[in-house]
Amino acid sequence: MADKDTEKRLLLLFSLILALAVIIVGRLWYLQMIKGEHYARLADGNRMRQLRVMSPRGEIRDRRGEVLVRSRASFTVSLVPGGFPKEAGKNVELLCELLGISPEELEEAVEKGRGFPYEPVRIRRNVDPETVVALEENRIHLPGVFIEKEPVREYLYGDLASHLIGHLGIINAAELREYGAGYRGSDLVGKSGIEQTYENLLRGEIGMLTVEVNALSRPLRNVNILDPIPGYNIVLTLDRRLQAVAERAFLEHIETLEENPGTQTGGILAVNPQNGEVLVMASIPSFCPERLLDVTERNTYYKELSADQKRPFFNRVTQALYGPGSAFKPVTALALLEENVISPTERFNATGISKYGVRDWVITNNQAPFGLIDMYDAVGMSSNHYFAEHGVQVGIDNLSRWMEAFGFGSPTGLQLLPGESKGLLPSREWKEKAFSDQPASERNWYPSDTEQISIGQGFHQMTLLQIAQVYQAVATKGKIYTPQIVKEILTPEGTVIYQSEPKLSKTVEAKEKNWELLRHLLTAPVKHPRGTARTSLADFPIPVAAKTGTWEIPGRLSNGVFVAFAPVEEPEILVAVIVEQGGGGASAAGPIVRRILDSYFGFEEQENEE
Amino acid sequence: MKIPRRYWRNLDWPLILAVAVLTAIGMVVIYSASYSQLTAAGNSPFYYVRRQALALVLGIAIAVLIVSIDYRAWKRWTRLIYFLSLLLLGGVLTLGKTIFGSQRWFRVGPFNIQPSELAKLALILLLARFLEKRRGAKGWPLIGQALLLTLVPAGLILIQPDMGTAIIFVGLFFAILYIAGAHPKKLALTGLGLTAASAGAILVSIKGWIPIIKPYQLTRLLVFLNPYADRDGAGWNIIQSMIAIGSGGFLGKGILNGTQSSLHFLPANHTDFVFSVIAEEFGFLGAMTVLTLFLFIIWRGFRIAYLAKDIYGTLLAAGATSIFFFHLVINVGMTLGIMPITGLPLPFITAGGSTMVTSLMAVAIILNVGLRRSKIMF
Repeated sequence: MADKDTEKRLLLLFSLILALAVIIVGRLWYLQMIKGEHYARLADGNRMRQLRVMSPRGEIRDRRGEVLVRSRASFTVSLVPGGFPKEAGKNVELLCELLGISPEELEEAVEKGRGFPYEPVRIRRNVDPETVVALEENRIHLPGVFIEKEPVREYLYGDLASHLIGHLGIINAAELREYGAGYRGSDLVGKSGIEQTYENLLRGEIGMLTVEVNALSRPLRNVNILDPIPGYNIVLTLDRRLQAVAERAFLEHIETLEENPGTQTGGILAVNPQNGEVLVMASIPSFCPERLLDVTERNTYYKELSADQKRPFFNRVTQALYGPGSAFKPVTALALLEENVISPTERFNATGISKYGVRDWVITNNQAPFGLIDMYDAVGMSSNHYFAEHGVQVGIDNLSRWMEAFGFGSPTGLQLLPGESKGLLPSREWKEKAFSDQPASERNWYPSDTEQISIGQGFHQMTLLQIAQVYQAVATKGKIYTPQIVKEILTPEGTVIYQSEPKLSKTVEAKEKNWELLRHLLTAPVKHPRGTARTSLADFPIPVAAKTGTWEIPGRLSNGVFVAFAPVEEPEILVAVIVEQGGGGASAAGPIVRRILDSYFGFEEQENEE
Repeated sequence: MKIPRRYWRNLDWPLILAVAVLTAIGMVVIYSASYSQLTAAGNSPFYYVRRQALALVLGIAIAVLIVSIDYRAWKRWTRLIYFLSLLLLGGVLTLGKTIFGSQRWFRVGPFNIQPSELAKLALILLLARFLEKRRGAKGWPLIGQALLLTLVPAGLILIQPDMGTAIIFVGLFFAILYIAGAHPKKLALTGLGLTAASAGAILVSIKGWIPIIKPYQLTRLLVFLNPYADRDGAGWNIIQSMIAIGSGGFLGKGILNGTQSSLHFLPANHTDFVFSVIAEEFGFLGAMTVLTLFLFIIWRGFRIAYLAKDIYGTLLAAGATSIFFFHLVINVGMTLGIMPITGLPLPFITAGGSTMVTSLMAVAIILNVGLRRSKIMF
């Protein structure tokens, strides 16, 4: 038996031990009983990974149902940054080597996942099966690395209609804010064209796969799966074959041009004037949407495109602003007829040089002046003198009103991103405002300005869409239908949820006989012995209306414009082509239009573009 | 060696039973904790359990041997045992095997022997003998000399480095000296002095003047203060352990069902963090059972210290009991996130031969003292 003092000390020490035990029990109680649920959630968060299962993006098809863009299953390698040890420099090296990417690219990819350290970020898409096997073999050295099945986008016709179809790219901060829930930092979103415009329909609904993983993030079993819902399929009004013919015709034709062959840029538009359906929309140069998705060359290709002085991303049908040149003359002609300035049969002595200096092309080419001509001759031979002289008589205010009626200065309403340019509507008020910082002499409107406007030169700025709109009105006797590119939208099961209907955008009010007359006048460039569109269309088997335009740019080669529609009485196709710095419209753009019309009406052997 | 029949009655059977239950729980938990890792590698899930059973058999044999020799007969060998243990500690530093960056083990056959475990027992023997001889002294000379005897082995262990075991040595010193009657205020002052010295060592290490404390130890200490400061590195262990314990709730997830443990989020789950597995798979109830058993053992140990025939027996029993206590507090405290990470085992439960054998030897010392407590018995 211990003595009293020892007993006391033993008792005290044991009490101290009990006190410490109470602290431990208290801590245990706190962790297990009070914070139990919190830690249970953390434990689940540890072992459960919510993997997003990307939905196959909807298909994009042409008007006949031919698939242009689709999604194909592939492997994507992702990384959970929170599960990839920071200090493991060797892991980084190994992963980069296996995937064939640089550490900087890896770093850049991981950076995109900031804010969600326990969610996978994509490192490399469309990985081949050999790489997948190599990764699996090295799994032990690569904690936090996942291999997911994810659809990749396939553009079956390369760069065909690239501006219309658009491209995908990695979501940026602004888009992430805009689209919000369901999107993550390394997701792909539409960046232009249909892909961007209909992002929310094409994307579908992301599925969610819950897997149990171990500390190395190796998936052990699927706990729960919420299947993704594929995106809607979009059927375009586009005619894939005609589009291919048009693009090829453009590229082949510019090779034959005398000056700087092959370097020209431009746009092609073909619509059905009766309903506004876009059959062809091409902007040259184009780009390859699929190359913008390939990880190995994405960055270099994007830089290359961005640095290209020809601006391949720029849509020359909807965004570029041009002067129409003589292609504007139908507007002046209608104004002359409607305002009764001159009878169409009245003859005017075209000496070749107007009061304010506008010249006819015969004068410029040192040929004899046209002499006595009526309106038919003036349109057919594209007399500047005739239209300048009478344009001044009808006056800028009348002309502005007519231009406004044809839709100048306002967008056509085409649903396609990036949005179209609205161009401008030349008028006294416009000039006053545009030159408001200049002296009055610069702001005033002069008859010389009216002369220029009347022949399609001067202040004009419009898109190819707007140029086409003028001819749409002529073709339909005043009805301008909003250009449309989406014909149908289908659910993945094939149910039609949207079907396009002609949307009347505006009606240009004019007398029936004047419309008839104008349509007749527009056959002159083809039929007149000295018609400007003869070389391309004189032998065309179907009655066709056409007009050339040449936009003069001081010190440079002109932009050539050519617009045609056929058949004249019941027009079903309207083609507008612009070739930048290709020279006169007849030679620069005419042959391209001819090939498109030939193909459309089946007058040429079906081109074997496949 | 023949043990007289009357001794059997004096053996502390409740203590033996508690140890047996804890050891059994340990086997189950080791099985559960190592199951997925072993089977994934194609090994038998009983690999660690078998080794533990082997250590148990060995430990019981040694324990029986210890119990059979009257503890007072050990006095003659005390100094030899102490110097031998110092020799082993010195030897392990030069010849030992490095595991996880520290030299703690000798390899003998299939086992790794950890001399520091044996040195704990040697220290208890030496201090008990020393204090019995100096009975009645309680001042600075006594404390100073005893401290010196403690710090020599503790210092050698600190060099390995094994901070946890070194702390236990210092803890044993205070427990034994206090019971032996040393002046409490002077003991407290000694404690303050040691704390100040440690703080100084940490400070010069942080400042980088003299690297007394290894960087990983410093990290562990800093991480203890804030595990989330290095969530994916050194803080990982503490956080994952707390998640394991907390997610166990009241009843636990069941054997083999601890996700933290079986999916390897919890490191060293069958060794240092075995208590986390208990709490995860058997819940608050299971953890409390283990804690209660330990407290029961400590109570029995103190009871025997109280009943001991002489001060030497009292100090031996109390010292041996204190080993369990310090291991319990430091190990469990670590898993609960209220103690720094040290890598100390939990006696009877942690998989490990040295721990199992020395823990049973300590139990044998207590039993021995209890066995020979009363004069009437002789």
